[in-house]
Amino acid sequence: MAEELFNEDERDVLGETINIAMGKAGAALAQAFEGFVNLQVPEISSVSAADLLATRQRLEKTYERISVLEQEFFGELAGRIAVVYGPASYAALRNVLGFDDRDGDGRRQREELLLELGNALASTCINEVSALLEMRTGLRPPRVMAFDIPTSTADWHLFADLEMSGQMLLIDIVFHLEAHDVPFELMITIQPGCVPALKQVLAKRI
Amino acid sequence: MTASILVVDDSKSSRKLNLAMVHELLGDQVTYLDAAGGEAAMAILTSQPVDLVLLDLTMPGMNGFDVLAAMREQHIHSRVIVVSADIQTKAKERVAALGATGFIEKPIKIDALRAVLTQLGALHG
Repeated sequence: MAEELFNEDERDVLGETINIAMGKAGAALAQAFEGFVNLQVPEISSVSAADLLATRQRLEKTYERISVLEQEFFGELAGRIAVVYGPASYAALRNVLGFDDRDGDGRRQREELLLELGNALASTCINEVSALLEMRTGLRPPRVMAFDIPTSTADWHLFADLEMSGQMLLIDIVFHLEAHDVPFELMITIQPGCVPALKQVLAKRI
Repeated sequence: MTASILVVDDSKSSRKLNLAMVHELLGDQVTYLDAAGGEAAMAILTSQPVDLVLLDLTMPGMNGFDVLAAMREQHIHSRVIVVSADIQTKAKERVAALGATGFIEKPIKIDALRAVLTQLGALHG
């Protein structure tokens, strides 16, 4: 386990900030699915390269196959956010939205759908965190990093900064669509260079 | 007349903020209690009378929905204002169906709290 980047009070304020952002993103997801989303307490942890193996193993256990959308954010608050879809989440999406992609250019249609929903979730979440913490940030366009591939083969840019810094902040948010029993997951990493500024902002709110 | 208020939230900073706000509005004539989770809240609610509960929804273990259901099951009639970041329309409908009398979205604003407390008759003017 990596040494904690934040103390208990800092983690508490950050957790509550993420909780509010998660609530906004959850409401957007609920609206898209015309359903109810069970929200769980977000997990905030400091991770090192050694912890990554456990994270990957956990993802492989949860999702046999995976689609991942990643989006980079930059500015005073910088990092990466990934929206993780398992096969069931895509199937639920298709059922709710009632389209048939079995014929024609189904893959393109599916990618666009994942991009659209993922972008909405990621931008809602990051923009809310940025507004609450009063740290300016911008979002680069989202990219589909993996599309319906075995989870073990997925390439994660999300953790790219870890190789240089040795340790980074990981925030994990899981949304559970009640009617479909389907998890959607948001994973956020914060660039190590932003940590001092983030600690200063959190200190004012303790 | 509100004589005792229980603030339930797993976040220490939120409990502190909510307690400060209700204290600002209701002053020193009220007993203020707080709990860091649903189980701790139920332990208080089953052991002493509480007039008003400010209740978070998303908590580890027993969440706010569970607390409302348990209160109903155990015939605990304290009035409950939900203070939550879970702003789904269905979440608001569910807590109302479980007996909550008010809903305030996080981050809590003192004007929203004042309006709900006034509506409940806990605050005059």
